[in-house]
Amino acid sequence: MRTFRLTWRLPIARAALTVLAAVAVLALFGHQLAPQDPLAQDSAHILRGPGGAHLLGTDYLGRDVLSRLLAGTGLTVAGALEAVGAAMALGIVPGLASLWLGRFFEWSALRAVDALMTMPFTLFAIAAVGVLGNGLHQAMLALGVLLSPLFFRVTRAAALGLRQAPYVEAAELMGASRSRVLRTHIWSKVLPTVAVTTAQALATSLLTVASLTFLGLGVQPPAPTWGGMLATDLGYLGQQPWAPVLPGALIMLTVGALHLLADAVRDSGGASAGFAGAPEGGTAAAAAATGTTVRPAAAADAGAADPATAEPTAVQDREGRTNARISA
Amino acid sequence: MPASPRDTDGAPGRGDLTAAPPSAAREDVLAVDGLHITVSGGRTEAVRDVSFTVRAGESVGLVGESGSGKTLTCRSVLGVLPPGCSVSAGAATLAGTDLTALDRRGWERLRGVRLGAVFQDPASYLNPSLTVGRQLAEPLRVRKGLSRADAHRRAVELLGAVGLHEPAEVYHRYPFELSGGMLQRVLIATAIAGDPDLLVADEATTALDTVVQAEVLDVLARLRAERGLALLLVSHDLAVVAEVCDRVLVFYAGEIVEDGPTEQVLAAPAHPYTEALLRVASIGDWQRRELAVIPGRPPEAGAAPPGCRFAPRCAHAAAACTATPTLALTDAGPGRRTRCVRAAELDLTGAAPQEVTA
Amino acid sequence: MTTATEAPPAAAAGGAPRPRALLARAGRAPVPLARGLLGTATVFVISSLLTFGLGALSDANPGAAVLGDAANPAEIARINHQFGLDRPLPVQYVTWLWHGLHGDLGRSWFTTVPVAHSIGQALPVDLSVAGLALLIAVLLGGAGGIAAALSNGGRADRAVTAVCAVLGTLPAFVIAIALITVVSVKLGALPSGGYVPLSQNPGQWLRFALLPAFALSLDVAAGIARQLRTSLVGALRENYVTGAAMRGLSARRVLFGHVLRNAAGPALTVLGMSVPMLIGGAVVTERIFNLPGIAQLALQAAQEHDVPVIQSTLLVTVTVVLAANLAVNAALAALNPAARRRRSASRDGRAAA
Repeated sequence: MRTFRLTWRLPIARAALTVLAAVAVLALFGHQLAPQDPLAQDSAHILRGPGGAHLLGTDYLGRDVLSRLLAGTGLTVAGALEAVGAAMALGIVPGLASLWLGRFFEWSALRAVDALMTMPFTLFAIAAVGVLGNGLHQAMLALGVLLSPLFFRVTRAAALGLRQAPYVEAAELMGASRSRVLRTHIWSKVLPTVAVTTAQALATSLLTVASLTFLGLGVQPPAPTWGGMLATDLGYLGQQPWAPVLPGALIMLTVGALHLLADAVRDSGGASAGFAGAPEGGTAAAAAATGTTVRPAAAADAGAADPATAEPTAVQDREGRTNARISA
Repeated sequence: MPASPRDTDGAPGRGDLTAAPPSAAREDVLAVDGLHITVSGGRTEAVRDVSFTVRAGESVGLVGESGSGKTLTCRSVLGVLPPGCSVSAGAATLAGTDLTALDRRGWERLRGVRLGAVFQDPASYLNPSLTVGRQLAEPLRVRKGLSRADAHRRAVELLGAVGLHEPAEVYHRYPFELSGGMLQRVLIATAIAGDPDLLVADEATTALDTVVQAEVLDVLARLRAERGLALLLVSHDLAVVAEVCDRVLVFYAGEIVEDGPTEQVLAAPAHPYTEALLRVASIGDWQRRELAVIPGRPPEAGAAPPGCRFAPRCAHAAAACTATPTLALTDAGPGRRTRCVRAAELDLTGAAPQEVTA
Repeated sequence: MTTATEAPPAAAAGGAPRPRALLARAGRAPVPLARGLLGTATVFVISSLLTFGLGALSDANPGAAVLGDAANPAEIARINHQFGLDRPLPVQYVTWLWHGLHGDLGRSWFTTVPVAHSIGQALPVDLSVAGLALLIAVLLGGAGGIAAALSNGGRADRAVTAVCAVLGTLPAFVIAIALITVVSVKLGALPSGGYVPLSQNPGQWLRFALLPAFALSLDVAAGIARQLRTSLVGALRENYVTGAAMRGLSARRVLFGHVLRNAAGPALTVLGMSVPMLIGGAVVTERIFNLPGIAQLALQAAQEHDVPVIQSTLLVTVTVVLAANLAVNAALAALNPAARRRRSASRDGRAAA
């Protein structure tokens, strides 16, 4: 929880969250907010620039661009969320199971993850659509399968850390109850990491949804989506070279906010790289703290061990040197 | 590994290593004059008014606690001061070249050929992903223009010269495959590859265990005798300095507090801090070993207490010690200097000379 | 990375007098290479199972697809029999994989053109454009990363970091559209789409390939620059840099001869991981620039539910990706032969302890 509190203090994280909240509002209420019917065509006003009745202009069928953008948010975001949800479901459970279900399962799961990671997202989603039928659900489930290794790895690493972390053992020795240790560990280590991964996965799947809808896969044409709008705008670059900027900017803004958020969470907490590291610093500090008092003991050891093997003068010599360490 | 993990080439049968070459009229290889070094971007002064010279073939030891400025001094001579540290005043001259005015190119021309260096933790100073031989041969090819074959042959020779067994075999080893003592020998070999005038050894034996330490010191002493190499040895270990150096400079809180021939300084220190160091170290004195520490702590870095900086910890401190804002380094006999106002009146105890050279 | 990077003890410690070619060095490690190949083979089999399974989940069949739903059931069954779809799934899988390994990827359900033929025409497009993109990415990313690391905290560093951050959020198709708008539509410097095979006319190929390759490369270049900057900044702080400088080596020599080879590993890994994106993830870029590549083939096949073509595009892409991974791992091993020996040494040490 501390990580999230620290994250919230970063201005950049607040900005990112604000953008994401705005996108969420658009996704939920985009249809209601749209000033006009996003599907209504108006052959009298095609490819109009911004202004007048159409705040952001019209497309090649005379449809209101602003309304289409607002209404298109929902489908795009819902698709991305569906994929990430599927990825979590498919990644987390095997990730945990891989540690407890024996070596064969672990080996197969790891190889399967490797195999999934060689598959390109968009191509696999296209294949899924081609084989299973043209629908956003098919594509998003396929994407979820490909994203699941992210969550598999994160969960596995976190669980491994839990199993091996010395501080868990230490806490238990000091009388903390197991559930308390687990709770602290999950709050402080696992959740931030999962949050980072989720943000990154959302960004990736948002881009993939945009790509697919750009290609005309997953949704039927009249329904507005960000990617679909980009695709239609591309046909009229000559007349409206600035048109792709709007949906493009929306995609970039959302993806950028997700990336920034992920970075902010990672920076403000020990997300991911956090399970190892203490021992060296610890011993060094201990050595520094004891500094002067350690020395005579070491000298005595050297004196006790050496005489058997070397002549007395040599012993004395080394003894002197061992003893003459001045600084700690 | 075919070679033994630790180099144990016989007992350290050293001769009289501290015997200074008799002539005192040779030219200065290194002259440091009034050097001031600031740290943390110029805000604090960590080294104040350090002056000394190293003559050709001479071996000079810088000794003191960590933070006393000895390592900063030697790093400024090498041109590798850590970020944020800089020479704020004074000069260092290496055989006529002003080191403080050198640019990057100038340093590149100087290093390896006229200036070599060995450091603590030799493993970290070698590239972990190249064989030691390749790293040794590279400057030979680049700087000396040797052919591949010649550089290889010369590198193997050098590895042999620093006392490594089966040098041709060691040539193909990666740093992690060698022990600390062997690595320090390799580092010494790279440092002397270009036949420099001056070798700077910064805590070069600190991380090694005592047997290996003795062997490495042996190598340094031998190279010095063979090649007329001047040696600037930095150590917190008075025993190491006593063994190898003709002259010793004692650093305390960024200043030189005593300077003189090793034997004289050890036998009759002219500064109470040296006396305290000797008592703690109790060099060679097996019987008199005691759990001695110097009471108190050195002043914080950058703090400049008036007068003698050691006064608060000094057993002989008097009012005169802190009366003047700064203390000058004054002559205390032939070839000796001290930064103690009471040097003349004090009779400080040193280590018995025969024990020191034992 | 897919292949096993941990390696058993290297065979000979002595080695050749002076390691010269990267290949020669990689060749000195037959055991880890074999292990890598084994891991790759396993991953390939699993990927092929996934690919085949995807097809098997489909209720599309060539009979119905070709003849329409109203066709005579007997006719449908006959066509399905021709494609071997009435046999048990395991048999179908083994046959499919076996034939695939021999270069026979079956026939399209619609055109009955051999799939291998279509892919043979499409794959060179992807490979050449992706190769060009990788080259641009390495040049841009390498230069950016080095410049940023050398000026650590300075103006160049901040500029590179900012550009990389922006590029990281820019989807490839936005870049592609922007490039077309500026370079093709406004300046008219390069064609906005189309393709001429490299073997036919290299000059024309470059004209058509440059924009898509550039659009694809920016994201990868940003990744490389970022990774290289991070690892270079760390490596430049290492003592061995001081050590090399103390031997009198010039700053450039220390950078390119010592630091870069130690710091290049992570950037190389980033490069390897970007290959799937370049080969199969470039669907949108291919569409925008109208390149007749694998992704276009897959897209067309997906719209027609042409299962053999879909499966084959996936399988071929996975093969290319795995080959790239193997190459990256070999390059990593060649770049740092010490790591292999060190790992084996430390493992021996642990076993002894």
